[in-house]
Amino acid sequence: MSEGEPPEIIGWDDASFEEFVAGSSARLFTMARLLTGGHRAEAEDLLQGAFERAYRRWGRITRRADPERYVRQILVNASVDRWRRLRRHPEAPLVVTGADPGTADTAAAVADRDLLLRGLAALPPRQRAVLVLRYFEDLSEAQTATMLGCSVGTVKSQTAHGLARLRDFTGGAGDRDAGTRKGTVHHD
Amino acid sequence: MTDFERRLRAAMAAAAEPPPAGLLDGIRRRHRRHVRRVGAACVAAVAAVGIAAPLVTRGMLAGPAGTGPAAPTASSPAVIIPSAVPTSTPTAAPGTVLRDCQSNNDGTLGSNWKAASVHAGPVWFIYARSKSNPPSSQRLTVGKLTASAMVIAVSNAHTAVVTAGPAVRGRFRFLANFNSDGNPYTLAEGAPGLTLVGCPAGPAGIHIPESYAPGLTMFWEGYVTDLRGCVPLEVRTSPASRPIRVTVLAANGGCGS
Repeated sequence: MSEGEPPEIIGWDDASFEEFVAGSSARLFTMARLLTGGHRAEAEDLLQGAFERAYRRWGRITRRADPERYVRQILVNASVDRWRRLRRHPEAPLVVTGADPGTADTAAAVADRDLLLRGLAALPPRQRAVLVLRYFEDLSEAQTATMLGCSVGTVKSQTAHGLARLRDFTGGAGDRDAGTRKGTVHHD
Repeated sequence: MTDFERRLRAAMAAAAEPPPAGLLDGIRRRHRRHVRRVGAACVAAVAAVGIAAPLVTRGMLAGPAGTGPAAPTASSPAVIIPSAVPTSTPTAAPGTVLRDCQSNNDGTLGSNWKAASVHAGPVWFIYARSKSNPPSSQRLTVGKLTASAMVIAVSNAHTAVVTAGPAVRGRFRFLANFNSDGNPYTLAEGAPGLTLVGCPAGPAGIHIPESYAPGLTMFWEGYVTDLRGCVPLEVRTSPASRPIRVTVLAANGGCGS
């Protein structure tokens, strides 16, 4: 079959799906980026795949109350599959530059966020997913467990370990001082 | 919630950014790939069952080696019986590229599509009259052309062969595979015709645009040409039938008959 891109005259055959993509893609893309540790290309691929899979079942999904939740579930499942594939990949050192203590408050806040996101990216994918679901999606421990297909106890321990590693990575909860730290990052 | 958790939450919220450009196009492409893969897998599975079934049956009838009258020997090797493959498998007419139900493209058409399209028997050249049709393939350098594409539909349960008119056969070619991102092609790479096989008749199959074009199987077909303006094409519904001659738009301008 030909590989070219269809012209505009051939439209999507479900306007409601287009609307759904337009309305939810920004948030889901951010979630995909967090799940992939900030990898834009990987996140795009993950999101495209999730939407495509959703489209195949769109008729059924639209009968549910919250189609976004369904797509979110596909995203999480896809990222789980992905990290299983990547599990054997070695870790590589990541040099993280912390915030400059001399900068203004806003700049320090931006640097702090950057440091936290770098730290998040350096976490093992499963811990990262738990933190994303808990703190980006605001899911409860039970909801997170359901989405990841694990027990509430696992979510609790993964959250605690993830936060601890993140604190360690960023130099402690209240530590916003400067410096170059070494962490590890998975090849995603 | 601790201060650290609040900071983490704020960091994640601040990471928001607009979705990638062309996301819907990417989803469309991915979906078409999926449909093609599923179609190809079904065809392969049917073919495999068709080939394996008689061998298994023969093996069971023959019983253990040496006990059955038909047990294959070195001098009489087992023969795969091609007739076990479904006889309805579509084939391409000589010199043409096959497009069948498995390779159809999804999409819908505007309500006015018929008025802007060229009709020839069971075949529709969609929007082939319209000035807003995608631009023609362009000459790059001597012998090198960019690919363009047209949308062709055939009525379900019908087969038709589309070829370039005799006068332009060396200057217009359909492409078996192409992409429209400007890669150069030559006329030698294409085929002078297409064999279009519609999906079986009946309820809407996969991605047949039921709303405005019920019963049609659509194809997104690449081509290269160094012609400007209109291109004469011929449509045949059987080898013995008289060709239906039409003219379609392959470049900006008014055309279509």
